[in-house]
Amino acid sequence: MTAAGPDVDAALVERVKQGDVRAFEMLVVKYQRRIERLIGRMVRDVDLVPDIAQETFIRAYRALPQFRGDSAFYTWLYRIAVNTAKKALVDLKRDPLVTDAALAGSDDDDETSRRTLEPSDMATPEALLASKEIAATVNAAIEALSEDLRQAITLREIEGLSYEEIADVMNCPIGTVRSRIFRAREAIALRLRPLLDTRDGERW
Amino acid sequence: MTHSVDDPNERRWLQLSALCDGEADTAEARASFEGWRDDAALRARWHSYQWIGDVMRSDDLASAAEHDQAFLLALRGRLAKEPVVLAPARTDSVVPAVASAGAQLAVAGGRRQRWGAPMAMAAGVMVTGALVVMSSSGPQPTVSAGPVALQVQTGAQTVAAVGPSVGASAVQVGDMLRNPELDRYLNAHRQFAQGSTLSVPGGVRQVAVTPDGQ
Repeated sequence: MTAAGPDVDAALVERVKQGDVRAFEMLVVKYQRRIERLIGRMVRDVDLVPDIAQETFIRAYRALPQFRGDSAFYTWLYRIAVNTAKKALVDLKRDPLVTDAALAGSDDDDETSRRTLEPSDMATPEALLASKEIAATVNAAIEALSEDLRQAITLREIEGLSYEEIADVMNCPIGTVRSRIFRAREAIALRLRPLLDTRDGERW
Repeated sequence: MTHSVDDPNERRWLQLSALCDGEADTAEARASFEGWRDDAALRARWHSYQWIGDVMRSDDLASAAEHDQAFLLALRGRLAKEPVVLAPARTDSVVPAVASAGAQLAVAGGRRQRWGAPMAMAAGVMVTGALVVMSSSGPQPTVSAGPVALQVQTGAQTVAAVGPSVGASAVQVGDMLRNPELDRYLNAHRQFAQGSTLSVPGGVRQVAVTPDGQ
Protein backbone atom coordinates (compact mmCIF):
# COMPACT_ATOMS: atom_id res chain seq x y z
CA MET A 1 0.00 0.00 0.00
CA THR A 2 1.27 3.38 -0.86
CA ALA A 3 1.82 6.09 1.70
CA ALA A 4 -0.99 8.54 2.15
CA GLY A 5 -0.63 11.21 -0.52
CA PRO A 6 -2.82 14.11 -1.51
CA ASP A 7 -6.53 13.44 -1.29
CA VAL A 8 -7.71 12.14 -4.66
CA ASP A 9 -10.92 14.10 -4.14
CA ALA A 10 -9.25 17.43 -3.45
CA ALA A 11 -10.21 18.96 -6.80
CA LEU A 12 -13.83 17.87 -6.46
CA VAL A 13 -14.10 19.13 -2.89
CA GLU A 14 -12.61 22.46 -3.83
CA ARG A 15 -15.04 22.77 -6.71
CA VAL A 16 -17.99 22.16 -4.38
CA LYS A 17 -16.66 24.76 -1.99
CA GLN A 18 -16.74 27.22 -4.87
CA GLY A 19 -20.46 26.63 -5.17
CA ASP A 20 -20.69 23.89 -7.81
CA VAL A 21 -23.42 21.56 -6.58
CA ARG A 22 -22.90 19.25 -9.54
CA ALA A 23 -19.37 18.49 -8.40
CA PHE A 24 -20.91 17.19 -5.20
CA GLU A 25 -23.01 14.83 -7.30
CA MET A 26 -19.80 13.35 -8.64
CA LEU A 27 -18.70 12.63 -5.08
CA VAL A 28 -22.08 11.06 -4.38
CA VAL A 29 -21.79 8.72 -7.37
CA LYS A 30 -18.31 7.80 -6.24
CA TYR A 31 -19.11 6.97 -2.61
CA GLN A 32 -22.79 6.12 -2.45
CA ARG A 33 -22.23 2.33 -2.67
CA ARG A 34 -19.63 2.31 0.08
CA ILE A 35 -21.70 4.52 2.34
CA GLU A 36 -24.80 2.38 1.85
CA ARG A 37 -22.82 -0.74 2.60
CA LEU A 38 -21.47 0.82 5.79
CA ILE A 39 -24.92 1.89 6.94
CA GLY A 40 -26.33 -1.50 5.98
CA ARG A 41 -24.00 -3.07 8.52
CA MET A 42 -25.24 -0.77 11.27
CA VAL A 43 -29.01 -0.89 10.96
CA ARG A 44 -31.39 -3.80 10.92
CA ASP A 45 -34.06 -2.15 8.84
CA VAL A 46 -32.93 -2.29 5.23
CA ASP A 47 -35.54 0.28 4.25
CA LEU A 48 -33.70 2.82 6.36
CA VAL A 49 -30.40 2.45 4.54
CA PRO A 50 -31.07 4.69 1.53
CA ASP A 51 -32.70 7.35 3.73
CA ILE A 52 -29.77 7.43 6.15
CA ALA A 53 -27.34 7.49 3.25
CA GLN A 54 -29.20 10.44 1.74
CA GLU A 55 -29.14 12.23 5.07
CA THR A 56 -25.42 11.52 5.31
CA PHE A 57 -24.73 13.23 2.01
CA ILE A 58 -26.96 16.17 2.85
CA ARG A 59 -25.13 16.67 6.13
CA ALA A 60 -21.80 16.38 4.37
CA TYR A 61 -22.88 18.95 1.82
CA ARG A 62 -23.91 21.40 4.52
CA ALA A 63 -20.69 20.88 6.48
CA LEU A 64 -18.35 20.92 3.52
CA PRO A 65 -17.27 24.57 3.97
CA GLN A 66 -15.84 23.53 7.33
CA PHE A 67 -13.96 20.55 5.85
CA ARG A 68 -10.30 21.55 6.08
CA GLY A 69 -8.77 18.54 4.39
CA ASP A 70 -6.96 17.32 7.50
CA SER A 71 -8.13 13.85 6.55
CA ALA A 72 -9.20 12.33 3.27
CA PHE A 73 -12.67 13.32 2.17
CA TYR A 74 -13.86 9.73 2.40
CA THR A 75 -12.66 9.42 6.00
CA TRP A 76 -14.59 12.55 6.86
CA LEU A 77 -17.67 11.28 5.01
CA TYR A 78 -17.36 7.91 6.72
CA ARG A 79 -17.56 9.55 10.16
CA ILE A 80 -20.59 11.56 9.13
CA ALA A 81 -22.27 8.35 7.94
CA VAL A 82 -21.55 6.55 11.22
CA ASN A 83 -22.84 9.49 13.27
CA THR A 84 -25.92 9.86 11.10
CA ALA A 85 -26.72 6.17 11.40
CA LYS A 86 -26.26 6.24 15.17
CA LYS A 87 -28.49 9.28 15.48
CA ALA A 88 -31.16 7.66 13.31
CA LEU A 89 -31.08 4.59 15.50
CA VAL A 90 -31.32 6.63 18.67
CA ASP A 91 -34.22 8.55 17.20
CA LEU A 92 -35.95 5.29 16.41
CA LYS A 93 -34.99 3.84 19.80
CA ARG A 94 -33.48 0.85 18.13
CA ASP A 95 -30.30 -0.98 18.97
CA PRO A 96 -27.55 -0.62 16.43
CA LEU A 97 -26.20 -3.72 14.86
CA VAL A 98 -22.58 -2.84 14.36
CA THR A 99 -20.38 -5.56 13.00
CA ASP A 100 -16.75 -5.96 13.88
CA ALA A 101 -15.84 -5.16 10.29
CA ALA A 102 -17.65 -1.82 10.40
CA LEU A 103 -15.99 -0.86 13.67
CA ALA A 104 -12.59 -1.91 12.40
CA GLY A 105 -13.00 0.33 9.42
CA SER A 106 -13.91 3.42 11.36
CA ASP A 107 -10.49 4.95 10.84
CA ASP A 108 -10.16 3.68 7.32
CA ASP A 109 -9.21 6.28 4.80
CA ASP A 110 -8.05 3.73 2.32
CA GLU A 111 -10.34 3.64 -0.64
CA THR A 112 -8.60 0.83 -2.40
CA SER A 113 -8.30 -1.95 0.15
CA ARG A 114 -10.36 -5.00 -0.61
CA ARG A 115 -12.22 -6.66 2.19
CA THR A 116 -14.02 -9.94 1.97
CA LEU A 117 -17.19 -9.40 3.91
CA GLU A 118 -20.34 -11.29 4.42
CA PRO A 119 -23.27 -9.98 2.47
CA SER A 120 -25.24 -7.35 4.32
CA ASP A 121 -28.77 -7.98 5.52
CA MET A 122 -30.10 -5.75 2.77
CA ALA A 123 -29.01 -8.16 0.06
CA THR A 124 -31.98 -10.02 -1.35
CA PRO A 125 -31.42 -13.27 -3.27
CA GLU A 126 -32.09 -11.43 -6.52
CA ALA A 127 -29.66 -8.67 -5.63
CA LEU A 128 -27.05 -11.22 -4.62
CA LEU A 129 -27.45 -12.99 -7.93
CA ALA A 130 -27.13 -9.72 -9.84
CA SER A 131 -24.07 -8.77 -7.81
CA LYS A 132 -22.43 -12.11 -8.57
CA GLU A 133 -23.12 -11.66 -12.25
CA ILE A 134 -21.64 -8.18 -12.24
CA ALA A 135 -18.58 -9.32 -10.31
CA ALA A 136 -18.09 -12.27 -12.63
CA THR A 137 -18.36 -10.01 -15.66
CA VAL A 138 -15.80 -7.59 -14.25
CA ASN A 139 -13.42 -10.43 -13.43
CA ALA A 140 -13.83 -11.92 -16.89
CA ALA A 141 -13.23 -8.51 -18.47
CA ILE A 142 -10.06 -8.06 -16.44
CA GLU A 143 -8.84 -11.50 -17.47
CA ALA A 144 -9.40 -10.57 -21.09
CA LEU A 145 -7.23 -7.47 -20.85
CA SER A 146 -3.70 -7.38 -22.14
CA GLU A 147 -1.03 -7.82 -19.50
CA ASP A 148 -0.12 -4.12 -19.56
CA LEU A 149 -3.68 -2.92 -19.11
CA ARG A 150 -4.48 -5.50 -16.44
CA GLN A 151 -1.39 -4.64 -14.44
CA ALA A 152 -2.03 -0.90 -14.67
CA ILE A 153 -5.69 -1.07 -13.57
CA THR A 154 -4.87 -3.55 -10.80
CA LEU A 155 -2.06 -1.45 -9.40
CA ARG A 156 -4.37 1.53 -9.36
CA GLU A 157 -7.66 0.08 -8.14
CA ILE A 158 -6.47 -2.74 -5.89
CA GLU A 159 -3.07 -1.55 -4.72
CA GLY A 160 -3.93 2.13 -4.71
CA LEU A 161 -0.70 3.29 -6.31
CA SER A 162 -0.42 6.73 -7.83
CA TYR A 163 0.31 7.15 -11.53
CA GLU A 164 3.89 8.04 -10.70
CA GLU A 165 4.34 4.89 -8.63
CA ILE A 166 2.74 2.76 -11.33
CA ALA A 167 5.07 4.32 -13.89
CA ASP A 168 8.02 3.31 -11.72
CA VAL A 169 6.73 -0.23 -11.33
CA MET A 170 5.92 -0.66 -15.00
CA ASN A 171 8.95 1.28 -16.17
CA CYS A 172 7.01 3.53 -18.53
CA PRO A 173 6.01 7.22 -18.74
CA ILE A 174 3.16 8.53 -16.61
CA GLY A 175 1.23 9.39 -19.78
CA THR A 176 1.30 5.74 -20.74
CA VAL A 177 0.01 4.74 -17.32
CA ARG A 178 -2.79 7.22 -17.65
CA SER A 179 -3.69 5.87 -21.08
CA ARG A 180 -3.55 2.23 -20.02
CA ILE A 181 -5.80 2.76 -17.03
CA PHE A 182 -8.29 4.62 -19.18
CA ARG A 183 -8.32 1.93 -21.85
CA ALA A 184 -8.69 -0.79 -19.23
CA ARG A 185 -11.71 0.99 -17.79
CA GLU A 186 -13.24 1.43 -21.21
CA ALA A 187 -12.75 -2.25 -22.04
CA ILE A 188 -14.33 -3.39 -18.77
CA ALA A 189 -17.18 -0.88 -19.11
CA LEU A 190 -17.91 -2.23 -22.58
CA ARG A 191 -18.39 -5.71 -21.16
CA LEU A 192 -20.56 -4.37 -18.36
CA ARG A 193 -22.79 -2.28 -20.58
CA PRO A 194 -25.44 -4.98 -21.11
CA LEU A 195 -25.77 -5.25 -17.33
CA LEU A 196 -26.24 -1.55 -16.86
CA ASP A 197 -29.75 -1.93 -18.22
CA THR A 198 -29.59 1.51 -19.69
CA ARG A 199 -28.16 2.98 -22.81
CA ASP A 200 -25.10 5.16 -22.53
CA GLY A 201 -26.07 8.39 -20.86
CA GLU A 202 -29.68 7.55 -20.26
CA ARG A 203 -30.98 9.00 -17.00
CA TRP A 204 -27.54 10.03 -15.76
CA MET B 1 3.63 2.73 -25.65
CA THR B 2 1.39 5.72 -25.50
CA HIS B 3 -2.10 5.88 -26.79
CA SER B 4 -2.74 8.80 -29.09
CA VAL B 5 -6.12 10.39 -28.45
CA ASP B 6 -7.53 12.22 -31.44
CA ASP B 7 -11.20 11.78 -30.75
CA PRO B 8 -12.43 14.73 -28.65
CA ASN B 9 -14.86 12.52 -26.77
CA GLU B 10 -12.18 10.00 -25.99
CA ARG B 11 -9.91 12.81 -24.81
CA ARG B 12 -12.58 14.03 -22.41
CA TRP B 13 -13.10 10.55 -21.05
CA LEU B 14 -9.38 10.11 -20.63
CA GLN B 15 -9.36 13.28 -18.56
CA LEU B 16 -12.34 11.97 -16.59
CA SER B 17 -10.47 8.76 -15.90
CA ALA B 18 -7.55 10.79 -14.56
CA LEU B 19 -9.93 12.79 -12.36
CA CYS B 20 -11.20 9.51 -10.89
CA ASP B 21 -7.70 8.90 -9.61
CA GLY B 22 -6.99 12.47 -8.53
CA GLU B 23 -4.45 12.78 -11.34
CA ALA B 24 -6.13 15.39 -13.53
CA ASP B 25 -4.61 18.85 -13.77
CA THR B 26 -6.69 21.97 -13.17
CA ALA B 27 -7.80 22.45 -16.77
CA GLU B 28 -8.70 18.78 -17.17
CA ALA B 29 -10.65 18.77 -13.94
CA ARG B 30 -12.52 21.90 -15.00
CA ALA B 31 -13.40 20.30 -18.33
CA SER B 32 -14.79 17.28 -16.52
CA PHE B 33 -16.82 19.42 -14.13
CA GLU B 34 -18.35 21.25 -17.04
CA GLY B 35 -18.91 17.96 -18.83
CA TRP B 36 -20.78 16.58 -15.85
CA ARG B 37 -23.16 19.46 -16.12
CA ASP B 38 -23.95 19.05 -19.81
CA ASP B 39 -22.86 15.62 -21.01
CA ALA B 40 -24.95 12.58 -20.09
CA ALA B 41 -22.44 10.20 -21.67
CA LEU B 42 -19.71 11.60 -19.46
CA ARG B 43 -21.90 11.20 -16.39
CA ALA B 44 -22.55 7.57 -17.31
CA ARG B 45 -18.83 6.98 -17.70
CA TRP B 46 -18.05 8.53 -14.34
CA HIS B 47 -20.45 6.05 -12.78
CA SER B 48 -19.00 3.14 -14.76
CA TYR B 49 -15.41 3.96 -13.82
CA GLN B 50 -16.26 4.29 -10.13
CA TRP B 51 -18.42 1.19 -10.25
CA ILE B 52 -15.64 -0.88 -11.81
CA GLY B 53 -13.21 0.21 -9.12
CA ASP B 54 -15.67 -0.67 -6.37
CA VAL B 55 -16.40 -4.11 -7.83
CA MET B 56 -12.71 -4.84 -8.27
CA ARG B 57 -12.17 -4.08 -4.59
CA SER B 58 -15.20 -5.84 -3.21
CA ASP B 59 -17.88 -8.03 -4.73
CA ASP B 60 -20.52 -6.77 -2.35
CA LEU B 61 -20.28 -3.29 -3.89
CA ALA B 62 -21.68 -4.66 -7.13
CA SER B 63 -25.07 -3.07 -6.66
CA ALA B 64 -27.45 -2.57 -9.55
CA ALA B 65 -26.89 0.53 -11.62
CA GLU B 66 -30.60 1.43 -11.46
CA HIS B 67 -30.35 1.71 -7.71
CA ASP B 68 -27.40 4.11 -8.02
CA GLN B 69 -29.29 6.22 -10.53
CA ALA B 70 -32.41 6.35 -8.35
CA PHE B 71 -30.29 7.34 -5.36
CA LEU B 72 -28.70 10.22 -7.22
CA LEU B 73 -31.99 11.47 -8.63
CA ALA B 74 -33.55 11.49 -5.16
CA LEU B 75 -30.57 13.24 -3.64
CA ARG B 76 -30.49 15.76 -6.47
CA GLY B 77 -34.02 16.76 -5.51
CA ARG B 78 -32.97 17.32 -1.92
CA LEU B 79 -29.82 19.19 -2.89
CA ALA B 80 -31.92 21.54 -4.99
CA LYS B 81 -33.59 22.72 -1.79
CA GLU B 82 -30.30 23.35 -0.02
CA PRO B 83 -28.57 26.72 -0.11
CA VAL B 84 -25.43 26.66 -2.21
CA VAL B 85 -22.40 26.15 -0.02
CA LEU B 86 -19.62 28.65 -0.36
CA ALA B 87 -16.49 28.31 1.69
CA PRO B 88 -15.08 31.71 2.74
CA ALA B 89 -12.09 32.62 0.63
CA ARG B 90 -8.90 32.96 2.61
CA THR B 91 -6.87 36.11 2.11
CA ASP B 92 -3.53 37.11 3.58
CA SER B 93 -4.85 40.31 5.09
CA VAL B 94 -7.55 38.66 7.12
CA VAL B 95 -6.62 36.65 10.16
CA PRO B 96 -8.72 33.55 10.89
CA ALA B 97 -10.50 35.21 13.81
CA VAL B 98 -11.56 38.03 11.57
CA ALA B 99 -12.79 35.59 8.95
CA SER B 100 -14.80 33.87 11.63
CA ALA B 101 -16.28 37.13 12.80
CA GLY B 102 -17.14 38.04 9.24
CA ALA B 103 -18.83 34.71 8.69
CA GLN B 104 -20.86 35.17 11.86
CA LEU B 105 -21.95 38.58 10.73
CA ALA B 106 -22.88 37.21 7.33
CA VAL B 107 -25.24 34.65 8.79
CA ALA B 108 -26.64 36.86 11.52
CA GLY B 109 -29.47 38.19 9.43
CA GLY B 110 -30.27 41.15 7.29
CA ARG B 111 -30.47 43.63 10.13
CA ARG B 112 -26.94 43.05 11.35
CA GLN B 113 -25.68 43.03 7.81
CA ARG B 114 -27.31 46.39 7.18
CA TRP B 115 -25.64 47.91 10.23
CA GLY B 116 -22.30 46.21 9.71
CA ALA B 117 -21.03 48.50 6.96
CA PRO B 118 -22.05 51.83 8.58
CA MET B 119 -20.56 50.73 11.90
CA ALA B 120 -17.33 49.81 10.20
CA MET B 121 -17.23 53.18 8.48
CA ALA B 122 -17.95 55.00 11.74
CA ALA B 123 -15.21 53.09 13.51
CA GLY B 124 -12.86 53.89 10.68
CA VAL B 125 -13.66 57.59 11.03
CA MET B 126 -12.91 57.34 14.74
CA VAL B 127 -9.54 55.79 14.09
CA THR B 128 -8.75 58.33 11.41
CA GLY B 129 -9.74 61.18 13.68
CA ALA B 130 -7.71 59.89 16.56
CA LEU B 131 -4.64 59.54 14.39
CA VAL B 132 -5.13 63.05 13.07
CA VAL B 133 -5.29 64.34 16.63
CA MET B 134 -2.13 62.55 17.56
CA SER B 135 -0.19 63.63 14.49
CA SER B 136 -1.37 67.26 14.42
CA SER B 137 -1.22 68.20 18.07
CA GLY B 138 2.01 66.48 18.99
CA PRO B 139 2.57 65.23 22.51
CA GLN B 140 -0.55 65.53 24.57
CA PRO B 141 -0.80 66.30 28.23
CA THR B 142 -0.18 63.27 30.32
CA VAL B 143 -3.72 63.30 31.60
CA SER B 144 -5.36 62.82 28.19
CA ALA B 145 -2.69 60.89 26.27
CA GLY B 146 -3.47 57.62 27.95
CA PRO B 147 -7.18 57.51 27.23
CA VAL B 148 -6.74 58.70 23.62
CA ALA B 149 -4.10 56.08 22.93
CA LEU B 150 -6.34 53.46 24.43
CA GLN B 151 -9.23 54.64 22.35
CA VAL B 152 -7.15 54.41 19.18
CA GLN B 153 -6.03 50.92 19.98
CA THR B 154 -9.49 49.76 20.83
CA GLY B 155 -10.93 51.40 17.77
CA ALA B 156 -8.39 49.79 15.49
CA GLN B 157 -9.22 46.34 16.82
CA THR B 158 -12.90 46.93 16.40
CA VAL B 159 -12.50 48.04 12.83
CA ALA B 160 -10.21 45.15 12.04
CA ALA B 161 -12.80 42.76 13.35
CA VAL B 162 -15.66 44.31 11.42
CA GLY B 163 -14.08 45.58 8.27
CA PRO B 164 -10.41 44.70 7.90
CA SER B 165 -9.85 46.73 4.77
CA VAL B 166 -10.98 49.96 6.41
CA GLY B 167 -9.01 49.45 9.57
CA ALA B 168 -5.88 48.26 7.84
CA SER B 169 -5.67 51.20 5.49
CA ALA B 170 -6.34 53.72 8.22
CA VAL B 171 -3.63 52.35 10.45
CA GLN B 172 -1.02 51.85 7.78
CA VAL B 173 -1.24 55.29 6.23
CA GLY B 174 1.00 57.66 8.11
CA ASP B 175 -0.05 61.01 6.64
CA MET B 176 -3.76 61.34 6.88
CA LEU B 177 -5.83 63.38 4.50
CA ARG B 178 -7.16 66.42 6.35
CA ASN B 179 -10.83 67.15 6.35
CA PRO B 180 -11.62 70.69 7.60
CA GLU B 181 -15.02 69.72 8.86
CA LEU B 182 -13.62 66.74 10.67
CA ASP B 183 -10.83 68.91 12.11
CA ARG B 184 -13.35 71.35 13.54
CA TYR B 185 -15.28 68.56 15.10
CA LEU B 186 -12.20 66.98 16.58
CA ASN B 187 -10.83 70.26 17.91
CA ALA B 188 -14.11 70.96 19.63
CA HIS B 189 -14.12 67.48 21.02
CA ARG B 190 -10.56 67.85 22.26
CA GLN B 191 -11.28 71.19 23.88
CA PHE B 192 -14.30 69.74 25.56
CA ALA B 193 -12.29 66.81 26.80
CA GLN B 194 -9.50 69.05 28.11
CA GLY B 195 -12.02 71.40 29.70
CA SER B 196 -13.82 68.68 31.51
CA THR B 197 -10.51 67.24 32.63
CA LEU B 198 -9.35 70.56 34.02
CA SER B 199 -12.63 71.13 35.74
CA VAL B 200 -12.31 67.98 37.75
CA PRO B 201 -8.59 67.38 37.96
CA GLY B 202 -8.75 65.33 41.07
CA GLY B 203 -11.02 62.77 39.51
CA VAL B 204 -8.90 61.97 36.45
CA ARG B 205 -5.40 63.05 37.13
CA GLN B 206 -2.98 60.36 38.11
CA VAL B 207 -0.11 61.18 40.43
CA ALA B 208 2.92 59.18 41.40
CA VAL B 209 3.04 58.17 45.00
CA THR B 210 6.39 57.55 46.62
CA PRO B 211 6.85 54.91 49.26
CA ASP B 212 7.06 57.55 51.94
CA GLY B 213 3.64 58.82 51.07
CA GLN B 214 4.70 61.98 49.21
